[in-house]
Amino acid sequence: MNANHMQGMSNSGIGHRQHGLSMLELLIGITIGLMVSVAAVGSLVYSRVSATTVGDSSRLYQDAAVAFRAIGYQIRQGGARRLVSTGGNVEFNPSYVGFGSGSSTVVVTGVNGTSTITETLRISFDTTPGFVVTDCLGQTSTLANNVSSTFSVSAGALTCGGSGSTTGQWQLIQGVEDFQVWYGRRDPANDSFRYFTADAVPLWEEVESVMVCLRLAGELSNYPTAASTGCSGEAVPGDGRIRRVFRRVFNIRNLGI
Amino acid sequence: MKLLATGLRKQAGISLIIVMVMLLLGSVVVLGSTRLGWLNEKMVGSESDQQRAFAAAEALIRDAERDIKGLQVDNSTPCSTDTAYVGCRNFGAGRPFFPQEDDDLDLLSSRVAGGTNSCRQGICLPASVTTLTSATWTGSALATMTAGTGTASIAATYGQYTGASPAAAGNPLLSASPAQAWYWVEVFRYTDAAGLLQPASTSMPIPDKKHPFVYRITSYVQGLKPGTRVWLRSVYVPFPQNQNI
Repeated sequence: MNANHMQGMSNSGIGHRQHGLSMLELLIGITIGLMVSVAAVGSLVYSRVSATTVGDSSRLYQDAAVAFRAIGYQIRQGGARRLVSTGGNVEFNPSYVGFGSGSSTVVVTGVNGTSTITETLRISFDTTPGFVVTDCLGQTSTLANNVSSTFSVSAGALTCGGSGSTTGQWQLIQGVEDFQVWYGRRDPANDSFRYFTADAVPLWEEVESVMVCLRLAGELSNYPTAASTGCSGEAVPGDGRIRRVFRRVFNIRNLGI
Repeated sequence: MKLLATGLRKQAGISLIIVMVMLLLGSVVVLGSTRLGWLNEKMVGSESDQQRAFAAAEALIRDAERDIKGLQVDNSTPCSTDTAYVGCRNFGAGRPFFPQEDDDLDLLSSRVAGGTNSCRQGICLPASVTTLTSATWTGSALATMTAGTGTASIAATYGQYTGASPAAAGNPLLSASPAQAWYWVEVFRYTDAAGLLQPASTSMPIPDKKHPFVYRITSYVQGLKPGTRVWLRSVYVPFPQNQNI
């Protein structure tokens, strides 16, 4: 009886107390849970945003590396002239003139960009037929004595065209806002070295180095970015996108001067 | 007490499921980011391997140029003052050497005759500029070209003749053993026809008449990854015409 009574008491008592405790526990649990969730979601959102920012920024660096690698591969070989057989001996292939004609060899040439014309850089070199030396599209040249590559900008993308069987300009990287090229030339009169835009180069045969500048912009536009400086020193107003200006100088090694 | 224990056990069951679901979700997120990181790691690894191999190939071409000129790594000290040496090469025991004048070609020809594609110890005297084709530098033909060590070798390795130290170069690919980087120098005689004056149409240096040779250097580097391979080729004129040497 005593035991029964105790059991009845404890049954109802525990039942009530449990209900109250559960409510309190639930509230405390929900509060702690909410606090933890807010902290967790906050840090998740923060890390997502920073990951996206870092990803967007590092993508620009990778894109620039890809572009400069493709351009550098061509410019480093620019003006190379293969050996050909002549009378049991050899000579440098006299038929190669690049973009020149007659007695002048032009290794690089270009078009200066304006509001209606896009900036263009063209590079040429000579190679032994059958060897795996390719233009910027990775194809062997169909032209005799000449492998050439054409870099330009179209619809915000750096494009390249080769001299193989596939024609036309093909996209290399996207997000290109500006592509500028300067051509370094040493003045024979006083040995001074200067860079010229394509429309001001006095003599294409004397170009010794090429300076390429790329202004790339990120894809996302929710960053508080300030105004930046472009390739030619111009101010670029900030519009919330990440911007980077990359500049590189390539020497034309095969000039023999 | 009994009921409380039962209640706790029930709660533990629900917690277990919730914790497991959360763990699963967490694992998916972590696995996703690990995969991304792993992909990035792979890409950066390939890129750095390629750049390391390219740098090694460039170093090999400079080494070959010093070998041709007979200079040590400082580009001024002769490789050897021993009279038995021609430049960096031991002239004795039927070994190949870099020709100094026209008459040397016949002797060199006999000394490289036994080697694959007329190449021995990194010096080749092919019949024409097209004798060594792109097939020479691929597959089993390439294995033949890189075979042998020491005096029996077909190719030359970094510093083998110039004394340059692969360890000091700081590039593990240039190490002599196991060799992963080789160069070959093809010797050609430049024509007399274009001789006296450098034609305006070519911006190329013409070799001096006293030393009428041009050297075509080919370097090949196998990177740390099996897919990384770099071939570089350069034509070297050690004594151009306008330098009065």
